[in-house]
Formats: sequence, structure tokens, C-alpha cells
Amino acid sequence: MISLTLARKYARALLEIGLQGGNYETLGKDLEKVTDLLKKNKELKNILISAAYPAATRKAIARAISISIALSKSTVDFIDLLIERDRMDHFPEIASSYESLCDGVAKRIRATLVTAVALSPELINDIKSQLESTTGREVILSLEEDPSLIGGVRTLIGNVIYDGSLKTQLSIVKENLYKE
Amino acid sequence: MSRFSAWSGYVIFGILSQAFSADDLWAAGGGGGVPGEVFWQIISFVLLLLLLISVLKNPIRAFLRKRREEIKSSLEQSAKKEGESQKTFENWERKLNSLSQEVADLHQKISQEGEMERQRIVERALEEGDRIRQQAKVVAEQEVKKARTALRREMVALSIELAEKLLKESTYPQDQERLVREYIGKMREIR
Repeated sequence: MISLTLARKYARALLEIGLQGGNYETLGKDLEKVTDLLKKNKELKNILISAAYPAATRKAIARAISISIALSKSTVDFIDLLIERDRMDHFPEIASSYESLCDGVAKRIRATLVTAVALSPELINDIKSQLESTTGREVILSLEEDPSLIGGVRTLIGNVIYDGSLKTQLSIVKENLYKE
Repeated sequence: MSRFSAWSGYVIFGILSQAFSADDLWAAGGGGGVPGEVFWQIISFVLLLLLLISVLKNPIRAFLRKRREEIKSSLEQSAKKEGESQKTFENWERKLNSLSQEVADLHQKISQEGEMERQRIVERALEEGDRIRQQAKVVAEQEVKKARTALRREMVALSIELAEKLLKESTYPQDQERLVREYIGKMREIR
């Protein structure tokens, strides 16, 4: 909980910088890149969060990496600040909070589309369009496959579920038959 | 008093007759002896006897009277005690009769109470029997209901499982597309 509060605080600060510079979306993508990198490279993550290495060394490593993955200056400065204050261990939470704040600013939502089988891009686009039309916001879809759905789709937007799967329909039939 | 005089007269007469008969014997024997001495002895004896009688007459009479009174008193007391005993006996007999009645009443009362208690026990047993029967009926009904529900649930579960299997086997890509289109249509309705 403390970590989330702290992460939200740093994310909000970075968002303000991004809004002032008009590059908050770029900063968001930068954070995403770094998160992916840290997730893939545990050794790098351990070095960046470890106080055993001098802050200058860690900053130098971070700068070297930032060049290779083309991070913006604001992002590099932000990482420097996190290293200085020994907050790199909260980076994934900060990136996640930033994404949420960024979505709020850009008036978009993230949805997870779960399907029983892989759908054609055309169908996925139709669903996305319909979701945007229903919510009145831009929808960023992430796709998942779950054969146990049998057929149909299920969409999760935050705490809301739009369920059109055969599995759920069968469950409803089952419950109704139990009640009779 | 007169009886005593007669009795003393008889004694004197007897003694004198003895004395004379002894004198006769002495006379008939024609032997020696001393008849004058015997005569004086008899006289002195009679005098002694008269003296004794005159001296002892009143004390003996008083003694006898007293004794008679005592015997009379004893007899009266005995009669009185007999009367009391009789009364006590009657009293006890009456009490015994009364006790018998009490025992009979008590017996009757106990019998009645016993009968009432028996009736109460029988009634209670019947009520308890009814209650147990009713309870057993309810439990049996519940068990039947539970069994029916379990059976129905099992049937439903099996049916759904079968339906799921059939759907998995018979859902083709065109069906998936149709389902997605229906889903989109419903989303449109939500809006």
C-alpha cells in the first residue's frame, strides 16, 4: 500500500513533466520499455536497485541502456532521480500508475478480450469499435485465449465484465434448472 | 359376732366332752390316776381360752373386717379396672374399625390417584408418540426432498456436462463468428 502511494506520487510528478513538455505519451512508452527490460533482465534489475553499487555507477549503466533503447531525456532524468533516492525497486508500480494516469488524461480505457478461439482481426476491430462506442472512450485491447469458454467472448474493463461466452450461458441455464 | 360365739361354744363343748370321755375311760379302767388334776387343767384351759377370746376377739374381728374391706376394695378396683379395660378395649376396637376405614379410604384414594397417573402417562405417551411420528414424517419428507434435489442437481450437472461436450464438438468457426456478432449486437443494445 505504501509502495502504491509512493508509486502514484512519482507517477503524478512525471505526468506533470510530460504534460508540460507535451510528451506524456512518449514518457509512458519509455516506462513501458524499461519495465519490459527489467522484467526480462533480472540481473540488470538487481544492479539498479542494489545499494551495493554506487549511485554514479548505476546511473551510468542506466544512461548507457537508455541510449540503446532510445529513451527521452525526461525519462533518463527520472530514472536518475529514482536511483538517487533508492526507489528503483518501485519502478514497475510507478510505470503502472503512470499508465493509469496517462489513460485518464488521454480519456482511454484498457480492456481484456478473452476468446475461446483466435478471432479474425476484422472481428476484433468490430468488438473494439463497439466497446469504444459503448464506453465513449478509446479502448486499448489486450487479447487472451481461454478454450474453456467454448464459444463467444468475454470482455473485462476494470471491474466490469461483459460476458457473452457459451460457458457463462450454460452456467446460467444450470442455475435456473437448479432453482426449478 | 354370733358366728364367732357359736364357734367358741363349739370349741368349749368339744374340750369338755373330751375331758369327760377321758374321765370315763379312767373310771372304766378302775385304775389309779388323778381326775381332779385333769379337771383343773381343763378348767384352766377353758379359762385361758375364754381370756384369749375376750382379749383377741376385737383385734381379730377388726383384722377380719379390715381384710374384708380390703378384699371388697380389691374386688371393686378389679371391677373398675375391668370396666376401664373394657372401655379401652372398646376404644381401641373403635379405633381399629376407624383405622380400617381409613386404610380403605387411603387405598381407594391411592387407587384413584394411580389410575389418574396411569391415564396421564398413557396420554403423555400417546402425545409423545404423535409428536415423534410427526417429526419422523417431517424428517422423512425433508430427506425425500433433499434426495430429489440432489438427484435433480446431478441430472442437471450431467445434462450441462453433456451439453458442454456437444457444444465443444459442434462449435465451428462460423458459429464463433455468429456468437461474436450476437455479442456485438447485445453491446449495442446496452448502449
